[in-house]
Amino acid sequence: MRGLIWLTWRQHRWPIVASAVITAALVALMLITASDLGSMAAKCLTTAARGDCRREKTEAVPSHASYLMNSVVFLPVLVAVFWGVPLLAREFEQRTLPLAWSQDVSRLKWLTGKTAVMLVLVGTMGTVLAAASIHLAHQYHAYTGESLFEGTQFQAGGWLPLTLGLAWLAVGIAAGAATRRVLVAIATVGSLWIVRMVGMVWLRPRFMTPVTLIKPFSLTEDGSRPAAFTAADDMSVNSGSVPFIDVHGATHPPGLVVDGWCGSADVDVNTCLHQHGIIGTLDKFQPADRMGTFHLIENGMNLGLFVLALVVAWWCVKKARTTVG
Amino acid sequence: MSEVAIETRGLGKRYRRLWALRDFSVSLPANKVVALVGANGAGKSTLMSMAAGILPASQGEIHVDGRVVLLSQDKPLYRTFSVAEMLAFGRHLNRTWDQQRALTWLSRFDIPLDRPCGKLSGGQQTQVAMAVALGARPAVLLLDEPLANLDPVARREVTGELLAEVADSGMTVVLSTHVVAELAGVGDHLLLLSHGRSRLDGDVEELLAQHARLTGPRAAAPPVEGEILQAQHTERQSAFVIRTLLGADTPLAEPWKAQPLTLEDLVLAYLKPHRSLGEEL
Repeated sequence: MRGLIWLTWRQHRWPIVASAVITAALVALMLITASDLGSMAAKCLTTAARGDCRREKTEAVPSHASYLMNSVVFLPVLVAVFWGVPLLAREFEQRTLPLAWSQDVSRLKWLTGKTAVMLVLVGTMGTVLAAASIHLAHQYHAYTGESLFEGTQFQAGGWLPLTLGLAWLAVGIAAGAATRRVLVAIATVGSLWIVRMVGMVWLRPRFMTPVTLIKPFSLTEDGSRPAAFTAADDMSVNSGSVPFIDVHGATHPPGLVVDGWCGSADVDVNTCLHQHGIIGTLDKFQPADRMGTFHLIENGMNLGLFVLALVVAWWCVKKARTTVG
Repeated sequence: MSEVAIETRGLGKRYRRLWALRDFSVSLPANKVVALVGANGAGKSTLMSMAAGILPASQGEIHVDGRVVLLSQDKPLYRTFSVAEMLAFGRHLNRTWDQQRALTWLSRFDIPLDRPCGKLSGGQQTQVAMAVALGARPAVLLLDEPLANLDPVARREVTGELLAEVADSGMTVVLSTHVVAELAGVGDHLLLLSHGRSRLDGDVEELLAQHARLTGPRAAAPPVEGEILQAQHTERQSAFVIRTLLGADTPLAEPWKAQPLTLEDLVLAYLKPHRSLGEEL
């Protein structure tokens, strides 16, 4: 095994060093940003500063936090491209596998050893990054009030960056083993990543049957516009279009109510809503207490992908023909 | 140590519908240089890969006595590794490693240890690959057409050094080639493959002693019994390459003459397709 550790390091030392540097930089930036967000959130709790608190995600620090969390969410595809793909595809391209496999190490032991070294390294870096991103997501949530169950915050939490990193390392290895060409494997990984991104956006809200609830209005202080009640960590599944509901139980699209009935500048929104019998919105959502289960489901899917990809890589290596007669 | 280095019984390898090697049974002697000869696609590389254990057989079995190392046709090296790192690769990935033997081989050919393999000439890369192969101290060294990119002088030097290694270490070398000229003075044992089957197998000296070129007046058949491998005719003369018990020592009536074959002649006689039988000169 020591020999395979040496070989893996020697062959992949630049991606390993670059990844370690990127990990260190990202962790440092995430911790600094999380600290800033924590201070800003704490400051907002004091009565004197409450008036200055915008608590908006478009401010500089929350924006940085959002970029950092997005970076972590997208890192797994880079792991697949720069770590996973070259493991086999480059060796196939440069025809070095007969050399490696004709030493005292069998091809499956060679694959197992090199993959294990990479898994340990990606696992270590992934653990540190995932811990930092969880911390950042919580501080982001504390300041902006954005749900931890939504979008980037959800994907940055629950140790998903770790399991996703491991899964996509395996996907990269499998793509390299199956295609035997670096560029083709990268294109395959990129395509699969896009499919995964789109697929998960569609699939994630459907992990469990959503809860449907009438959320009555509470008015903003100036009473000028309705403010829908939302629990802090719910996952909305209305796709940004929450229908209004009236006293008779009929629903009305938001465009009709906000832009049509109550859209004029001279109309008081509150009065307008009352006149049309609107009592609230009909919300479909995944409640906050399901977040852990959702993280568990997605981690399980990542683990499944990880195992499947490794089986594909193992099968390809087992069947690989390294010479012709 | 066993007297047999490689033994196969009913060995076969099929790539989809195509049999690269079929019903192949041989015993190759230990502590010899075995010349494995055949046209492109004859099954040499397949046999080597199966002997090295990197290609599973479709049928039959193959047994190799002791550690085996394969130096394949394209002599793969990690291009970014320095020569010293290639030796470290060999040291790390083999249970047995003889650093001194590898270094000695490299110093014989003045190979710089600190240069990346990708910046070495083709001939120097061959020497690095040979050093890695020899450093692993194999009982059987399989060389799959390894000397192709060496000039004739270097080729002779390498084969000479290899013979010395065989004599010193008791190693068996299987040298696969389709360049018959590489074999002159090198092989102790000849295994000739054709279309995935063994066509000729035996001690080189014995095989040469059993073959002869007979020339004489035009005739449909040679004046002695034997397996006719080639027959060529002019208006007044015929020439036959035959396999007989006494070879070039076969007594012949005048004006027939018997000449011994060189190893190259012998191999070419077997490699030439059967349509050459009866071919007009």
